[in-house]
Amino acid sequence: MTDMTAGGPAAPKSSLFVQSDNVRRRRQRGAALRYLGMAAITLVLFFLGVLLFSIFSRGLPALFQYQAEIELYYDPAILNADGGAVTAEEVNDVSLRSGFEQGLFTVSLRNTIEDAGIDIEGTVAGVWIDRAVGALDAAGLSGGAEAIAATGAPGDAAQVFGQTGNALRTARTVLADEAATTEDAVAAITAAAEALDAAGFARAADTVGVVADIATEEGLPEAAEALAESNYEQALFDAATALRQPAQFDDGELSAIIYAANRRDVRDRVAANLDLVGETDRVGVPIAISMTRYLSGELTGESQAQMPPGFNESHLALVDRMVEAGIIERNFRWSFFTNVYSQSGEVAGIGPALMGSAYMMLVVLVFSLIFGVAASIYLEEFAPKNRFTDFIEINIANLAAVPSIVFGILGAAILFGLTSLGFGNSIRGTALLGGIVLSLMTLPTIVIATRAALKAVPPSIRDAALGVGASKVQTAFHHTLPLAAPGILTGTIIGIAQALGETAPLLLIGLSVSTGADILSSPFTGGLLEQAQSMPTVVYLFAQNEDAPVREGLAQSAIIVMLLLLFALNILAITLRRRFERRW
Amino acid sequence: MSAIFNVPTVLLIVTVLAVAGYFLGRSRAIAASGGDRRSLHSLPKQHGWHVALATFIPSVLLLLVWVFLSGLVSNIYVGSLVSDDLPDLRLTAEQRETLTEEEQAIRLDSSRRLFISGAQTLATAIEGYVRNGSATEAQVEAWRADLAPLRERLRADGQVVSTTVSQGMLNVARDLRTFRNRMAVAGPLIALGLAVGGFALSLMAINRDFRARISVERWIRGFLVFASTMAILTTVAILASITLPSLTFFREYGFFNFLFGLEWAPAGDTVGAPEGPNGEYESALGFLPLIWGTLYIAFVALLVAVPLGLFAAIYLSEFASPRVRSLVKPALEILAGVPTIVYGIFALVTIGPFLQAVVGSTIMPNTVSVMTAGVVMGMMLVPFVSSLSDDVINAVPQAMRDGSLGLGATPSETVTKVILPAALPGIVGAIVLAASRAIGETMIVVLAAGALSNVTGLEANPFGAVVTVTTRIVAVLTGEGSGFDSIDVLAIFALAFTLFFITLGLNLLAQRIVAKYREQYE
Repeated sequence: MTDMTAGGPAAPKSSLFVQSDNVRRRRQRGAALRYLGMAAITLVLFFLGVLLFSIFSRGLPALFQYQAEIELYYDPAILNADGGAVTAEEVNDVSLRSGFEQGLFTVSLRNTIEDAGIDIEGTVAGVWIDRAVGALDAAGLSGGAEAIAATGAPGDAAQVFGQTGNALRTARTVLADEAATTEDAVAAITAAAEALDAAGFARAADTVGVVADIATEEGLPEAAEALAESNYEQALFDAATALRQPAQFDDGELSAIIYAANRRDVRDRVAANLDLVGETDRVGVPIAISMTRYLSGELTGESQAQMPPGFNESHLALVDRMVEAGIIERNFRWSFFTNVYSQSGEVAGIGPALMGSAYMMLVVLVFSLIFGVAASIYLEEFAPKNRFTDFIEINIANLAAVPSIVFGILGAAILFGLTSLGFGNSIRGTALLGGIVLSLMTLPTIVIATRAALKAVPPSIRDAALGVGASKVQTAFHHTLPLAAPGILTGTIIGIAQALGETAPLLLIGLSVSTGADILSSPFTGGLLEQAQSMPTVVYLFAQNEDAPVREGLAQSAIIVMLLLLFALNILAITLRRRFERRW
Repeated sequence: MSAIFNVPTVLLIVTVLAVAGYFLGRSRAIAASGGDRRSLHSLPKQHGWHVALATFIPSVLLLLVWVFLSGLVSNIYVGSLVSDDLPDLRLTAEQRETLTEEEQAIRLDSSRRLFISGAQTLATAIEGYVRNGSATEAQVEAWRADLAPLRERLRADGQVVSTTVSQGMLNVARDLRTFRNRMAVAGPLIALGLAVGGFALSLMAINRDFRARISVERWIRGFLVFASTMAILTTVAILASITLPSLTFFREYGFFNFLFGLEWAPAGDTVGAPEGPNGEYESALGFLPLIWGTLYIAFVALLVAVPLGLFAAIYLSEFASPRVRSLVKPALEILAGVPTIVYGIFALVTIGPFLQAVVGSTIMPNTVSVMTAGVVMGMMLVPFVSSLSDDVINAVPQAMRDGSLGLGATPSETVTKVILPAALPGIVGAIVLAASRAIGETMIVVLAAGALSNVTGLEANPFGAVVTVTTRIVAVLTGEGSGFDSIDVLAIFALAFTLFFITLGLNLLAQRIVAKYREQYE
């Protein structure tokens, strides 16, 4: 079109119905902007997808827990080592670690496994024998299995193989020694071949025997080369190392598989009810958390890097058998919602965090509804247009943009101040203080939403009320406020949702310090004034944990719970808005 | 006496009195009207409310003030009880000879503080002991110097007692306890008096012409004004809580030492007692490494957020079909509603290891780094930038679009040559607000930027770990607050001080720009 204005008589003929090259070029150039926009949106949506996938793919499996169902036998011999009748004091004196964890629980675990028809020693030995035979076979030492069976226990076989390996090593050193005579060499080689033969490797003994002939006929260096070609020595040592493992699998190793989480509860239960002594109880015990990474398939256990920390092939073999026998089962982890936070991932939970968050939301609701609505009504309906009002408005706008951590600093300073007045320690980390700090932070959001809702009420309503003689206060409270209520409620819920996810201010007033056990034990009597936790702070604690399964699993589980709560709140807000919102 | 006049009981009595006042006031007003309600100035229920409020509010306000001030007052009282020539505080002859006057003053001050807090704990312990019924008042009065058994007795009763108890401390504690008990009774007593007085006076004031409505509405308006000053009170409280410790810090450490220091290495000095050889603080508390880390991450975040947010906003407001918009906008809102700790953990467990795998561990030794935090924070800011820019672009008058298109410009030429220049101030405002958010953001950097406690110089590698202002604040103030005794804690308040003023400045700037822009088109 520019062509038309620029052109004189020489202008080429153009049609309105045919796109000129110039226009086409311009449109093409313009399309870039559109594609950039699409690319940006795609990228953001992709990021959102990755974020959600990363959370749910780790968090959902962690909501399930592997448990061993064991027949817990309250062994009188452990509960009262001196013999005689068991008393409550004696039970309470039994050590939780050596008496219960390594005593009752381990013995019961062993019995449960053996009752299921699993031979613990046999299973463990089997793994290592297989491994030893594999190592021997790889080196051409066939007949390893028979050789081991012939010696009896794996430990004995380890000794024999070790000695044979030593004989081979001696032969090698002699061959390498320049000062050695041919006779010495032949003697050493023959000794090694005899050792191999005695250990049950006749073919290998022949191979080594040939080396002796080479030594006499061709010389020592050639013999050394021939001996080195067979890899018997290393294979024997490897087999010996593997065969020594079964003997090391003692009760301590066995009990490492489970986490005797409820040992204190069990002790209290026995002490309270002595009839239990000598009885058996069926209890579910969590599997150690790093082992669950093997059970869930996250680690294969096939190499050292894939081995759950603290375990080896013995444990894996036994655990495999326990899964087959149905002793280990995967259950939904209800305890996650009721337990307190703990360093041990097996028993850590978010109970106090859920309670604490609920309390804080309650405080925020009450505080910010009362003060937020009152402030908005004043600013919207009563405030004269003057400097003071402007100042308030500027303050609200600024507070809405102040970083949340600054509110935490305010909380910390209040705490320091109250400590000097003698209140501090009673209020540190309580849901009340957390709620107040969150309320101050949410107040601007709620004021802004409430004012928008009040503004939406048409002036004719006010005029009508004032016209029939209502006072300004009556107009505001009897007419404007009820009509604005849905909008106010929606804004409040969104403000609360925001407060629910806030972490930094709560960390600064000490919410991550306690386990929050007190708030669970006395939810109604002193809930607001007990040391609490909140959902985001417990997520933070999980994220700081040293165990990878906790950091990368349970943290995400807690996030899922938090996101579901947020989602529910937002759905509630949207429903309220759809249902009650009135358009004027 | 003290059994009745405690805060909860009085609060209950006052509430009951107020409720009774409502009904009494109402019926009294009806009686005063002589059967014709129209002759009353105010409605009967407004009379009722008047009595209730006159009973309730003054006395409850007094109780509130009392609860908070009684601690302060008894602190002042106990301070007046402890004179410097008390035997417990006196310095030894050797100390008086070897120490300088200044050091003596510091010793004296700290032992005085120790003594006072000991006495306060002891007073609380004795009170608890008596409350438990383990001793009578007369027995307490008779307690003498047998201090060690006394401490054991209190401990056995479940009371907390400090390790050093002297006769002087016991005397002070006993006086303090009496004073506290008197305060605890006096407050509720006065509050009750106020309630009864308000109740009686307001009931007597009721007659046909009494303007109860005006009075009640004045109370209500008073409350509304108070509620709206909450914003001012909060700002003042924030300013006070960060400024006072910061000023102490600047005075002690030196404002320029702080502002231009290149090293951050807290060493735990006590305020007023520098431990260095030349009387300087051993803690190095330089601001530059921290603000460098903060700005570096914020820069990376903006580098991600601004183009993405802007292009998304342009597309959504100018090109997208309503269907696309109705799908993408909620998705952006979800992204905006995700708590920042979730982003932090995502950065820690997913983005960090991913970046490390891409660039290799020689360039990126840890999974935490500027890029880890910056990229994720940028993604967090995209919805923020895009929704603000969206508003701004939509505020450009339709006439300008129509004019441009009418003259033959293509839609994208309209965007780049007409709408964007017109919306530029608003977009700049949005970017400034995003920058303010990035600087104040906490949880992402706490989890994903690095957690060094000592740092020297400025890290240039974008894949290296840095320390930021907010990370340090969280690291030091989380857990047991150590109070204002440590210069390192004061330094944290100075950090908060600078953070507050930087973000405040950016916010005011953004508001200015946006306001100017609004004027242009309204």
